[in-house]
Amino acid sequence: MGSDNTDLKDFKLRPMKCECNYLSKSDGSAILSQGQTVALVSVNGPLDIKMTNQSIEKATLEVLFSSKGGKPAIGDRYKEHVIRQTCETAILGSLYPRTGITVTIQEMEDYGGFLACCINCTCLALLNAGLSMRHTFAAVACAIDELGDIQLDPAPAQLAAARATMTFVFDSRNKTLVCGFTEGSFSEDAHSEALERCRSASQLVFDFYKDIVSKYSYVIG
Amino acid sequence: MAEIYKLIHPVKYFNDYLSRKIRPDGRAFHEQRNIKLNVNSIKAADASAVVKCGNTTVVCGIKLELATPKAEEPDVGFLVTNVELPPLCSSKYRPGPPTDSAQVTSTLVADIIANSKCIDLKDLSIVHDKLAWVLYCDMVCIDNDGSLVDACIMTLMASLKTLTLPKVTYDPETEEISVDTSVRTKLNVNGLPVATSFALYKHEQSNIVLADPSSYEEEMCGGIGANLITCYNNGILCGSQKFGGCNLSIECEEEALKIAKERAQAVEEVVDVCIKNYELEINK
Amino acid sequence: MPGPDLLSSQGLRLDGRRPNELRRIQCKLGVFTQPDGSAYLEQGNTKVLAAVYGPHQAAKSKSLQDSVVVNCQYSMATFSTGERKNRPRGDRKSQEMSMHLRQALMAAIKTELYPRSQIDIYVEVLQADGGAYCTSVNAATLALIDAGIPIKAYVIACTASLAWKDGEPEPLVDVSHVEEAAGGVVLTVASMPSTGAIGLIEMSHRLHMDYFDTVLSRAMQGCKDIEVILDKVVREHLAEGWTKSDDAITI
Repeated sequence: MGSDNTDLKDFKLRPMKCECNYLSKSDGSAILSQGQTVALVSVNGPLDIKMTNQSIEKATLEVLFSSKGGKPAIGDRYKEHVIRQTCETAILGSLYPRTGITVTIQEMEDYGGFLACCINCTCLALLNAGLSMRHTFAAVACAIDELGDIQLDPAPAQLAAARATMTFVFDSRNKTLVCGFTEGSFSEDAHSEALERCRSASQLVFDFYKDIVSKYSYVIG
Repeated sequence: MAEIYKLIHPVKYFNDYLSRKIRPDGRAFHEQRNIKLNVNSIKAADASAVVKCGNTTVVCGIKLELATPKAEEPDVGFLVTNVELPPLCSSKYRPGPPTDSAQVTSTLVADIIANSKCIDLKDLSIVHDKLAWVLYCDMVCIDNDGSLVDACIMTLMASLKTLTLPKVTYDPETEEISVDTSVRTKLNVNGLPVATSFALYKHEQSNIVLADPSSYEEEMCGGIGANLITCYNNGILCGSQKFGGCNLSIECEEEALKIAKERAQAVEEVVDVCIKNYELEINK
Repeated sequence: MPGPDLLSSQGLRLDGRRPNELRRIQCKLGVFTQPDGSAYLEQGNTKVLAAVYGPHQAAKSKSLQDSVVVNCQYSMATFSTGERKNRPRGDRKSQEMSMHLRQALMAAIKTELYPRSQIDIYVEVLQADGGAYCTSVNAATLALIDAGIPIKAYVIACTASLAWKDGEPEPLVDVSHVEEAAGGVVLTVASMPSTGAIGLIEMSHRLHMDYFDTVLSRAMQGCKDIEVILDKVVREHLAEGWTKSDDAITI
């Protein structure tokens, strides 16, 4: 189930592989590898939650991230925050008032672009769980090296040489920016160029989603 | 009357204001709140600053300690930043362990400081592999009314800029450390990173960028904290984070970057003037 | 008793005060927007912030049928003391302080007025230079007044110590950190000076019974003096508030 789209030579991402329904007990799950980076996501919901956490307007979203070592760190809260904010905009939460949706992410292997992999995997798991969404979303990571060249979906060696790394998340309808976060310093031009490159490259991820979903619906149908 | 309307129709109340091109607190969309800054008000800390952006108030205190550097990085000191959101600062927080938002803010602040490279950690080294400074920078928010990261960065930078390190002599044979507090050198600070928060709101097909949002505005725009935070140091972008809220178009982003750039200059001026006044006062 | 030398030959203390002189008090009510009541208080170099939330609905497990639940939290900023504190709250000292704070304030709050409700009082010490507990109690009282919660009387806390001058005992009011550290006795009293009631009394070190009354009366006198100062500030603050009531809600 690899996606080697060679039409867009400029925008080559590392090969993606995905397996949905990887876990049998959760409502939706997916394991996604982008190159050597692997993430596993399970989605449960809508389900009953404590009265105090319920909202009458929309579903309460809970995101749990556990790293490979299993030891919680402050950085994990940040990742949870990013993923929760992304899901919050995508899921039609108002369809499930007074319920909770739990997204659990397990780090498997981190070889660069890990957060992007997590976000893409989360999207696939949400699709797999059959939750209503406004749009799907795709994350693309890139690195800017000392010369100012932009490298999409960087591998660890490229990350080590980079002066800045950026991750952008786009929605599927207008390809507008849902989430974005950067590390390192860079000029405004570099930022906007990277944004455009990632925006175009996000099409590859969306194509991959379509591919996966059509295959699974064929199996079910 | 207005208060009741706000309770019954929270969204419509907010929209009614925005459709008249004004925010509920009377500001224009791009208008920022007043900044008040005061340095070295806490004598127990080695350096400190209090900042008030509108109602958001953050106190930063820096404590110095000596430690042995890590074996893998023998020439590097430590800069430990931590943001605290005690239940005092808002009714949203309950007593207990640090909340998620406190941890997220801590990470954001630490990232911005690291990415801007405003402090060279090698400057904190005293003796190779033996001794280095640890800068414990604790920021306590005492009133949280939105745009928290901006205020944290500002108070942290103002504190770092006034920080002086006492002279330390180390005897390699006896391993004796002596600290001479009468001879102090200023810490090198490269530039002044300035963070600017925005809230993004979708109002009748158009996207609105609200600069320096209050906590009420942040809540209405669906973010836990601000939606967009951009950070400039010496005119170079050193961080741009966007979390949820409405989707960001290119025009909006350009608009935001322009505001952030202007604000960076304004804040730089505020900090410089404040420190200059302080130095004049102590040299008198 | 060979007490430490806390008084100079001129009868002045280490920081130049007379034995019955308080440190300078500066305070402000209503400093914050988020809480229902707040106050900032400086006694010498001890700086404290207090905020009051409530009364609001209490959590089911905690709520009482006949009185309000008072929840206090005392926390010290990590940079408030000479040595960096690792935990701003939750350590034994802070927990003890929270409990003492609650006991002192419970004595004054008209708890029967708000059954099934809860009042949260949060105190943050920004700089500690002796008497942090006293300053916290005084700041919390001001914050309660700012929140409009009915109290029976001002709760004021003050410390006193004992020094020797020419072989005569001389009690010292409002002990600073240097005097605390010098190792003398420190008596802390939280009282309601206008009624004469004592809400909490605590003493460290040894003191001969004969001198207890002198030290206690000096501390009580300190409480009375502080009350006068705070009362003036409260009256000024309220007078201000009524003249510019632009945020009044009209229905």
